Amino acid sequence: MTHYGMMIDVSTCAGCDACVMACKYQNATPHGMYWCKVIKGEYGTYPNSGQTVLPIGCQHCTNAPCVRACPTGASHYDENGNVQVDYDKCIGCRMCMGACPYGAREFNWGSMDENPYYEGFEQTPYEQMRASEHPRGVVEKCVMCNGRTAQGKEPACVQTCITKSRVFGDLDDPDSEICKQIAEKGAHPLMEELGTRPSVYYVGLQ
Amino acid sequence: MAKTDIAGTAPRRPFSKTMLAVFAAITAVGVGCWVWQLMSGLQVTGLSDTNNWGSYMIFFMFFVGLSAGGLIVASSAHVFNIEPFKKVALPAVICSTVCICLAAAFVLVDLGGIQNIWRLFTGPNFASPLIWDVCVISLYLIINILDIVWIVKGDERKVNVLSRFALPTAIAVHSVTAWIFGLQIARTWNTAIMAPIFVASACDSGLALLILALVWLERRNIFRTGEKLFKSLSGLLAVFIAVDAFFIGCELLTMGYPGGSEAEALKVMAFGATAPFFWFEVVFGLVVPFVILVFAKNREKRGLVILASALVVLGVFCKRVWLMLTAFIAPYAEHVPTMMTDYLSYDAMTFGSVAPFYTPTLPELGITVGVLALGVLVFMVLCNVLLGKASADPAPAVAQKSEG
Amino acid sequence: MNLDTMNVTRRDFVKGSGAVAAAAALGSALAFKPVEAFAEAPQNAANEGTAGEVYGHCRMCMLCGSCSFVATLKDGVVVNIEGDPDRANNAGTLCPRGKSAIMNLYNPHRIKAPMKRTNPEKGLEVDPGWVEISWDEALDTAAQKIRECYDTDIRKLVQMYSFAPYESGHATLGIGLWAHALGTPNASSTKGQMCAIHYGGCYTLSAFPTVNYDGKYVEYLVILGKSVGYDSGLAGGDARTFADNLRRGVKYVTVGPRASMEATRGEWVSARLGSDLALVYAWMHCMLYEIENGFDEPFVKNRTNAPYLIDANGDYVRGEGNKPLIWDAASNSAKTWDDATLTDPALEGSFEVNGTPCRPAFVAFKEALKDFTPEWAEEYSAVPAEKIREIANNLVTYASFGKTVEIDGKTLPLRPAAVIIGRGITNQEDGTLCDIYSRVLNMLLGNIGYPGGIISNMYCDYLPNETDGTTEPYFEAKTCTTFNWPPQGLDYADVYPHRHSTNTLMMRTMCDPEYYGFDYKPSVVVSCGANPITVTADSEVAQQAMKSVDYVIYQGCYHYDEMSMFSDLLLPEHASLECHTCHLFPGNEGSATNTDPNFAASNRGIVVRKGLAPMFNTMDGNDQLIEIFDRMGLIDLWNETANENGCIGYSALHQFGQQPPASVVFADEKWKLQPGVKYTAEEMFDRVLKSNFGDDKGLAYLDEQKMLPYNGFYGADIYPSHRNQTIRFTLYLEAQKRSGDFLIPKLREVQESGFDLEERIKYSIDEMRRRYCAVPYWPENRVIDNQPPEFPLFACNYRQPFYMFRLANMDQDPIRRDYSAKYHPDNNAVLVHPSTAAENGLEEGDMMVVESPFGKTKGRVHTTETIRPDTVAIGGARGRKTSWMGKDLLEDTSMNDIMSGDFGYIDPIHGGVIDTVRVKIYKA
Repeated sequence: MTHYGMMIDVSTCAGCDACVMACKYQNATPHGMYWCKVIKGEYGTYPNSGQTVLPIGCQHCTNAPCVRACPTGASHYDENGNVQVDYDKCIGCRMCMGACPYGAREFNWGSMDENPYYEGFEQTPYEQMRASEHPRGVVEKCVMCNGRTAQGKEPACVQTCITKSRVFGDLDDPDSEICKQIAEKGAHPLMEELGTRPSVYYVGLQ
Repeated sequence: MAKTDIAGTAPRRPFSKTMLAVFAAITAVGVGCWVWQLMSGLQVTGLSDTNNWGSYMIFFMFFVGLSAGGLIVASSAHVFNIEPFKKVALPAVICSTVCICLAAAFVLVDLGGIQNIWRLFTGPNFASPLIWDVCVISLYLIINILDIVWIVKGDERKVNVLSRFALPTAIAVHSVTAWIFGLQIARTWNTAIMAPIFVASACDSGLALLILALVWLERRNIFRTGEKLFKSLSGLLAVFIAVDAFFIGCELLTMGYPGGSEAEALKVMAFGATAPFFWFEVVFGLVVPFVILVFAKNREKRGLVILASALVVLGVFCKRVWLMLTAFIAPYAEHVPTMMTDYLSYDAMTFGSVAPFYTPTLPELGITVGVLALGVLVFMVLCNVLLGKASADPAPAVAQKSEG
Repeated sequence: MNLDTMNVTRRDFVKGSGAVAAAAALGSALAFKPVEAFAEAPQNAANEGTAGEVYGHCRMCMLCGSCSFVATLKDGVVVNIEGDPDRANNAGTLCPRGKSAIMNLYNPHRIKAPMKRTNPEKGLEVDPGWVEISWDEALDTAAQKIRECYDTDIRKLVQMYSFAPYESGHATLGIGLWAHALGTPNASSTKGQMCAIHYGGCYTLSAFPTVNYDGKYVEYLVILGKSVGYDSGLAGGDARTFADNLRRGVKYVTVGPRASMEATRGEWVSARLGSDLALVYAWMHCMLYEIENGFDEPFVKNRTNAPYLIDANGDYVRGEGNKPLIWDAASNSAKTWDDATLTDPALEGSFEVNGTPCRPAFVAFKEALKDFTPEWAEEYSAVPAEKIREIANNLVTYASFGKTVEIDGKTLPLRPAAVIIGRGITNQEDGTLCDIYSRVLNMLLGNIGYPGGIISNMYCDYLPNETDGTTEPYFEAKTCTTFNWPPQGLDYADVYPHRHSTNTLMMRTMCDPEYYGFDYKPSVVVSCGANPITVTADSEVAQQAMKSVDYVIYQGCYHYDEMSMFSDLLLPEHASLECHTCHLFPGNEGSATNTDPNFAASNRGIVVRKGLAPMFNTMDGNDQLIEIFDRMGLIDLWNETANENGCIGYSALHQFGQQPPASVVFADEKWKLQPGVKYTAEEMFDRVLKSNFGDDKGLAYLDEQKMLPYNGFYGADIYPSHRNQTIRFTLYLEAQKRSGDFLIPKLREVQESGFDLEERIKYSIDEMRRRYCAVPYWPENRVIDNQPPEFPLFACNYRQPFYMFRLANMDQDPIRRDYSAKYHPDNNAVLVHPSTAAENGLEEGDMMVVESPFGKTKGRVHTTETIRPDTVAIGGARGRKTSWMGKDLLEDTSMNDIMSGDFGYIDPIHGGVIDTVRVKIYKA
């Protein structure tokens, strides 16, 4: 059984948002929608203060509240144990958005034709070429780059991380790099106490 | 003051064609807005990824409750053999039917991908509370329709049997609706008492709406409820308010006491963005009506009863608003790590500052008002048609001078 | 790989005279060593143009060529772009700017064809009345206008350059080379004034463009006014080095006003803005006066000019062959620096040589630092004296004097402690001083060019002064020996010979040349992708300057920006993805090495960008210039210039003799550009490649290889001080003093002749004299300390990865703009400490104004604990003035609006604009 997962080290993450843009361009998401985000924050009081960064997207929970909540089964687990949305089945009720504790899901409120990146102008050829991948009225989120991983590549965010703070691999393979690093670094998921059992692990969370 | 009159001696004023036309026109505008929404997508509303349920789902919650309340009253009357209440069974069921249809309509207009709705039936996910709601609301609607049919036909026995199914279904319908919210660990909705709260507010708001509907019908001499029954219903309403208040009180205490993240949500409700709605409900939706109705003397005054009932309905509406919106806004008060940073500058803690998070747009309001108008329209038609003959007061009362 | 160093003579390249550098002859000896053998030559879809993968190097930031990309084409449309895993530098990664190359290509604000203006009125919001013309007409017009200057007074031609996607902006015949070849002194970088970081490196370690740190061996790095790549989000290796170093426990100390990401990951030492020089002096003071064995004595004695004897004037005392003398304590006599019997150079003492009383320069150096105690520095920097001492002690401890390391079987000194600086400190009034003395501090640590220390990002050899045995300052640090009055260059280069750029001064002199002493007026401006109206400061002045000339040609333009609103002729170039051009990548800007053992070799080389079929009627920028030269009848001049200086890489530096060369030069003569022949840019590149690598190794070969390491280094050879173990670094700034010795009397002469020069330059000549110092000098009465009290706070700028500086669509990309608006708390915001905000009646989210004596800008209040209470900070390079780029850009918060590059507000030696200003803040 493959179970794809990811590990993110927020103690070496530079907060450059390259992963955000890699995901954006890989998937040509509608204007305003970002499957990967990096939440910026800070801690401490001057002068003992600093910045925090949290790259976050769908956690691909193995006990996903969104899958449970979806009335039509549009949100489901794929063959790699990741959560996917079948746009043909999605009725746009957005129950899954309320169910997700990680804010991972976003909705196609309008169509890409009416919402070009350059507001007030026509869609760029890039958008025109890829708009059909994002039908109006469905919920979207990180797909763990299933198109790329099927070809043996890493997800776009992992490949582009300029500090190599992301690791991707098979959580079911104890010899994989990701399993070793998770064990070595004591990585654990976000908001573990919720019991959603994500496939994304973090190092360096405060 | 209500007109008391021998049944049939004062002229019955069915809802006029003009009135019907006006509401039909409003409905048409709503339909137009909906067509626009279908063509352009939900972007025409004020919804966003941060606040992805708004007016439509608020009214959905509201109308499921109103509907359940009406039917709970009507069917308990038959289950527990409360004669006086049996008399208002038909208008109650009409009310309830209209309300549940409105609730369904609100869900439908909220769907982003309504063209895929058949998927609910070909591949339902039975773990989803939404599917439970589809099932139970469908059952509930069928029961409502059967109830109307059999009451109009006068089939007492069938109605009695049906009521034994209707009552638990009515309770279930609003409990299931509550579970859509209450079972989600991601939001402040997550509490075991959500279903009891919903059922309690269904009872008090449903009953209050019923009372208002009955007042309206009596004014037009379409259906006569009578003093005594109004007084009893008001008394029952007072009890329901007390129960509702108790459940809410329990929930608030549980939220606030540990001083944790739920307390942050409570702050938003008590002092922040959704505070106006919260306090309206508490003060004008619970305390004031209860204080009015707890005294028998007040229950005899039609005006006070109307006032109290209206306040209860509005109060429960406000509860739906703060319940829905606080869940989306509260994470910003406590800086949950996964939220959109640009909303940080919107102050969740400023009194009444809901607008930056969610403001319904004109098309959205148009659709909402249109659905409401449709509901009123259908109610009026059904009353015109079905309530011509029935009356709560079959035996002519002591002949009195007609007033006015 | 040991390279001979040669005598370098300043080459006169006007009208083709001058000798070919000997380096060219060595070209074929510089063995080409590919880093990786590619099993299959990758198919580059740019050839077919509609589907497949397109390879190239990225130019979406200034570090053009540091990263390579792979773009996916589908039906002729670019549908994705990512880092090329084959390129060691970025190792498959690509930063947000690199990704926006797609939006850069499909930007609706692009100029799609050559245009000429029909509305003579020029203004930011005035419709120019653009009329599309043919390339023939456009190029003929440009040629005619420039030729007119050439035939009458070439000085009337003003060329400006910046970072444009094609090479002319910065390479090929850029950095003003083609303009200088025509003979005009007026070639000025519009963005260069924010980038005055070259002087110290050019002076002390023959380093251009930057001085980097050895990421592989460093253990302790103090960072002043710089992002070492992590804060900027650089994909080309710097951020990866930083992260890898975090993993191995390297200590990064960021000294500055803000807890940036780099500061967060290491130690943040909060210091008042503009106080870095005080800290550098205090650290050196500690090393010399307080800490036992506080500096690398053997290094200072044998590898610096510290022991050189100086007379009362501060000049070297010279002996045989005119070589400077050193007192040998062993023999108690003076010897020349290259005397084989010299055993123990004295650092202290006073002596007499041939009747001249003298002492080691070190004595003067040390004396000058006497009063710069940590307590003194605390007053300026607000850093506690204890902490200042702690850092000095750490530097000394980590430096581990005497320690060595084995690399590649060779033994090298290991000094894993260093201080590195950047534009945040050089763009201050005392920037030159801080720049150069930070290098001197590293000399005291003994880490120059050695493992753990600082290295030129080009790993180049030190340029020797054969007589003095020291490094010879080069490029803009080259000792001043010429002066013109009346002044020749409109950028007042005669008064600021060491400027990197004084474009803001040029904007002023253009408006009133006579007032500034010029005997001519500028007539034609050729801007090579340069926009002085937004890029630096004093927008109004720049607008006025553009209006003051007869004709403005915007060559290599991209979008309808402010510069276009003042131009008469637009010659648009291709978007970045459309250019087929190559570049000799000079090297990263932070780390010189990293965990990749071949990094230094692969970090420097020739990279190709394979262009897509252009969407519009645009033209390659290089080809535009070639056409213009041809139509002027001067194609031979172009060819000669290219032949002599090379045409890939920094050709303009070639004449300074940097080794390895800063550009790819013609080695095999037969490939040189022939007289009378007009070559396309591609043909030019092809020939110079073949001339270097072999007859079959031209552009097509480069296309296949994707990158040709060019004079990369391996193993111990990475370290220039290992390659040259005898040269001495200049702790004592004798050449700087000598520059001043030459220049100041000239300036005084002008002043005394009746022309009030001091009034023009708003600067005292006496103070100028003091700045050209040989030993540490502290300038009292700095502008930053003497602003009106109504401006109580400091304002500074900081790096945002999304908006690093102005280049192409950097601030225009809708995706980055949108994401910033949603997820960046500091998007178009002003960072204010909560107490400062409260004092000024400001709350989070309010709109506020930041006002300096020069201007104001608006932004959203963002309260944060990560900024000093006495400082407000504005991030990124944003803020536009014309709605032709999108109205929302007009609302962006702009640091440039509150700065000034006026005379008196620049560093008087290297010309950097002071980018810290005094401000007041209030609610909008």
